[in-house]
Amino acid sequence: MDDTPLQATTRLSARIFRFDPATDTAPRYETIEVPHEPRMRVLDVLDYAVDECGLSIGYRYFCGVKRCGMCGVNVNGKPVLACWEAATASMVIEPLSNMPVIRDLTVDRSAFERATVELEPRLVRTTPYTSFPEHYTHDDVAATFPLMNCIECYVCSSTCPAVAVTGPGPRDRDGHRDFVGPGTLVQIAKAALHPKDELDRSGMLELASVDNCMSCHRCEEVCPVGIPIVSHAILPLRALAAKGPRGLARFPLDFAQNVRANADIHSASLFVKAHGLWRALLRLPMVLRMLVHGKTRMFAAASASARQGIDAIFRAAGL
Amino acid sequence: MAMKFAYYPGCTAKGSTREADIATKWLAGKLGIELMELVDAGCCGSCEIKAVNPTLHFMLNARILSMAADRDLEILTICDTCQANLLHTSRRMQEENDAKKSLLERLKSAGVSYRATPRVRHLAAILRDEIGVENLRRHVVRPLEGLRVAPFACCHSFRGPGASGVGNEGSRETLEALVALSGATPVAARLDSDCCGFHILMVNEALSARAAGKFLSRCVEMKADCIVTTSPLCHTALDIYQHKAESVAGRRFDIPVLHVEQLLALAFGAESKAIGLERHMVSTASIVRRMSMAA
Repeated sequence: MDDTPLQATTRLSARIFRFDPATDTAPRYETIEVPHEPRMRVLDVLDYAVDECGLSIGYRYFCGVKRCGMCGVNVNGKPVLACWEAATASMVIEPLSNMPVIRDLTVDRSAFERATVELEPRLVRTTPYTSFPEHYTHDDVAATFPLMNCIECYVCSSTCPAVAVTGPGPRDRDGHRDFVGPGTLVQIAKAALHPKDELDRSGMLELASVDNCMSCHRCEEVCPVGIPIVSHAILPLRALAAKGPRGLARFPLDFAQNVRANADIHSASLFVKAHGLWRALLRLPMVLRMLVHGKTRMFAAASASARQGIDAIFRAAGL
Repeated sequence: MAMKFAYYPGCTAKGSTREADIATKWLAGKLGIELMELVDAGCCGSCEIKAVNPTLHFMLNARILSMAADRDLEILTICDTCQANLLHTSRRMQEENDAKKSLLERLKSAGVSYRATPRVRHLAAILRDEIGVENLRRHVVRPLEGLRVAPFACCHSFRGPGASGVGNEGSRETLEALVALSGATPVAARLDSDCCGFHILMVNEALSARAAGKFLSRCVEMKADCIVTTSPLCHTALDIYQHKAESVAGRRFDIPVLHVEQLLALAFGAESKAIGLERHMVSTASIVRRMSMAA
């Protein structure tokens, strides 16, 4: 990215993605020069392209003040909100990734929105309200409070390496589906971690592949409102999913058990546990190659005192 | 200057990527760094235990921190994820609040007296801070000239609650500087959205392989001769499981993956067997051949 300081007289260069799936066979780019104004935003550049250059670019925005979450675009490869991102000397402006293009910079977010709706993004309770408004302490809402800042822009989901390139597909016959993405999980966590929520969400969360989060924290890096998405939404939902009735997302439990038994992770036994004995046996050629290269140990190597020390920690943690 | 650290290699460097441990010991010997290994430390919990029980996660890491503090030593890691977990915990343990008090009480009941919070750094950062890039350059006897190296620092080293540094002090810049001082040419193949996929290898191998394959494809397109990592976990995904990424991408990559400790050791004159280059799943023969021809 070009970080050259901008003077009032500088002309900015913007290379803008153009594609209409109804008429075009391939995307193209149009480059414009824009006179720089102080505090100019990417959204101002797009407005200039339409109003002054006569380009009929498709882009979406509403509030202009980082509230509606509609104006997400990629600028020089980074997903941002056009209304909040400062224009720079040289910009390549493209649609968000992981979403089909409707036209130019306008993307179809419906796969993510559908996944959100299907996962009950609301408090589900049978206990009657005690009063209105109900009494909450800061501690009661500490877990969900940072999530309330989410503006549902799905910028995080657009750059998540665990999300499929066209967003989460539909559920299969068993109800199982691809990883639904961090944006959706923030919406669900708002309800799931709320002290008044009474729905057992473990089953639907394991089917939504929440355990497919790669823990790369990319979502947090790009979140326009700075939500600690992994620690406050995804990890607590993974904990719920791990208790799911089908055992689809129980890997963290197996991992913890493996650490308790061996002190260090014993990857060979974890591999067998995760895949099941028969599927693990099918991988015998790989395992043999690993043994030849000294890449795996048949038996755990940690000392008895290490195992005792780790076990004491588990007990002190109430396990 | 005598340097002594509490050495916490992590499970993977003692299991699937023992060559990282071997190369670290070679490098430490060469540079006069004394390593007191925390042999009974156990696992830091990776990204799994915090998903089950955050208290347990912090306790496992606080126990490791206390083992170094008991020896009055700072911690040296060679794994970005261990470093992130230890750093996150050390930040938590430097706060004064009820959560810390409760952790201290639980640790006490497990027989751990937590006296102090030691500094935690990756070997790469220690080399940068304590020896300095210019001084390290003096050890180069076999400049890796012409070798195109794609650096891959683990996401956990520069993002999330355990990130190690900011700006020019960050892990990515450090890794790139170390690659450059070895005489090799850094190849900027990594995108910010890239992840090696390690943490879902046992959960969704195909998705993990797809993520690794994106980066590996770019390395091949940009004509990188090898990849270098600061994390044994990324190394596992990119080396041991590279054949999986190849089958998902439908193309051959065949690109060796080195640990940063091995890359530096090579430049400092190490023989390939002394740093475990024969232990990789993707053959490093092309790199070894090149080095022996250059010598």
